[in-house]
Amino acid sequence: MEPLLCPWESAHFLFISSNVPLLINYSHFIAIFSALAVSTLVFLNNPKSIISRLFVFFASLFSVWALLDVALWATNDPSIVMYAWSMQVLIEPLTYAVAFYLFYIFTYQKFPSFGFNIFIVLLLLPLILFLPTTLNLEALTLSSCESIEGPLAKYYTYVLNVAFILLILGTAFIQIRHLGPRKNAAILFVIGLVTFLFSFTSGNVISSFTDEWTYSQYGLFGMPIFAFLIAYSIVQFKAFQTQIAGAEILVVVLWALVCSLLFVDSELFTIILIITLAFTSVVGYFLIRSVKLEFTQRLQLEKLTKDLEKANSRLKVLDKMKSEFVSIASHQLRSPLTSIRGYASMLLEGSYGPVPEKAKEALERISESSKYMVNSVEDYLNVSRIESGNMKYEMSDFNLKDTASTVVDELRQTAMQKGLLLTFRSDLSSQGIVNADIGKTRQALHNLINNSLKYTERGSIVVSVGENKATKKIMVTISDTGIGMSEETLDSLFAKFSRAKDANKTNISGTGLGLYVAKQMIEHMGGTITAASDGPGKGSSFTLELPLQQ
Amino acid sequence: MENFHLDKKSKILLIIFILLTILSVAATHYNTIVSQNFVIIDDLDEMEMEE
Repeated sequence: MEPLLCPWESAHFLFISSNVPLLINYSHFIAIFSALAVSTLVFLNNPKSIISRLFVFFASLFSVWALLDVALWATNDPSIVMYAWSMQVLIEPLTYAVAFYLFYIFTYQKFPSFGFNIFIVLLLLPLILFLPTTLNLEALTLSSCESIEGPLAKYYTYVLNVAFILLILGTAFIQIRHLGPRKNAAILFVIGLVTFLFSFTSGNVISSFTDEWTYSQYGLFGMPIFAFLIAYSIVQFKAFQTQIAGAEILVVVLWALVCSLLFVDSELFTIILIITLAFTSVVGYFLIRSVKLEFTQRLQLEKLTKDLEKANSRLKVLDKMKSEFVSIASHQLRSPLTSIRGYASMLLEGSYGPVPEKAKEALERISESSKYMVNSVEDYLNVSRIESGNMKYEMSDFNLKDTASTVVDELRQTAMQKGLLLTFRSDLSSQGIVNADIGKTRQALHNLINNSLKYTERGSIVVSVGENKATKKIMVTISDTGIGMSEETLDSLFAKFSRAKDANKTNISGTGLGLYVAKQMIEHMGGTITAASDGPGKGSSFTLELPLQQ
Repeated sequence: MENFHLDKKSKILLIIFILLTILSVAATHYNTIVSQNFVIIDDLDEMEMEE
């Protein structure tokens, strides 16, 4: 017996048939193109995002539904009609469910709770269980090749659709005001989504109850509107954490419009072409405007870059001149200062005969002040050398533990004069050999310990040497019970001319260059200097690290 | 960057849901395409008479 077929010719490739009404292809394919194009753009720009993936899934489900719809119009095979119709009954509420999850995750930035997921699954369960039964599709009318829908297809799917639309609106109502900067994107998203879902459902409900399925095609025009709003929110508000140029979106829209023309029936071709031309003119206007804007911005950027380059090279020249000036001035200052210090020492030692006690006091002050000035000039010279790249490093292997111990011994006298306890401790298991410039390392250690001495009024300073076996580095830690530091001070501690907040009030001398010079020199030798403090009044600790020589 | 995950119980629920959906789609396929187990109302004669 020959199989029963609907009274029109068989479809070619499932979708091509003379039975497909006018506009069907256009409305379906433009909707599919816009859904897939926007979701693919979002996905390609942020493929790891769950929202992007869910968006692609949503667009794919919708596209499958639309393709099944075209197949339903085209085919004359009752079994294909029954199967495709059933699949549409399944896919339609699933699309709505995915749309709800998409919006929920977009607004809440998390998945719904397990209990809520159970509720959604229970809502969808009757659909899954009764899909193959006559509760879904009762029979097929051969003359129109349409299924007679049972309660599942005729009522339950629409109940589900409305339920998901209400859930989306509810989520928007509760959450949208708390979204801050993402509020505008979320508003456009929910308007687009609800417009599409509502028009889609209305088209299908009207068709279902009037048995006039040409109405359902108009519902699909909600998808291009949704796609447009999503594209707008991406360009305007960087929605979906996506950065797409307006021109990119506009080209995709043009592509979708022209591609859709391929599927238009010949009788309606002129009308559709006029509509497409009108759309193209509007899109073209925005495209040109967008390109012009981007071009103008590029020109402005180029001009700004050139100005910046000029300013930068001028600054470099000025900086070099400054360094040279400091270097020359410092050299000129250092020589007479050394003479002053030398002669003061000789006078104090009695090289020029006995000196009265009163004069000794004055000479000691001259010696101390000139020592301070020599140190300051040395600091300026170091900064000048560092910045001009003229600092010379003579690298050699030496024992950092011994070096640190020597520096501590040198400064013990100063500590005692201030009534501070300066101790040295070593927890080293190895020799502690490092490859660096011994003079510069001594200077850095000297600066660090001296800094602690300056900012500690009472208590102790502990210099300990240890080893970090994981990083293969040797560490010298200087911990004091001094004035401590705030977070703010810590941030700018190693900057040039940086001094503690109350340094001037507490009469602490210094140029504010010691820590800067120490850090620059140690970093140049492959090491690090870090500082830590629990806060003002709670002491500080400085750690110098250099790679251990194997 | 997003930093959220589906909890374990929800993942199991999702897998069960997907499996049920696949079974349902397969059963529908068997009913319609394979065994053609559905009623066809042959109203072609009526349509011809109306014409």
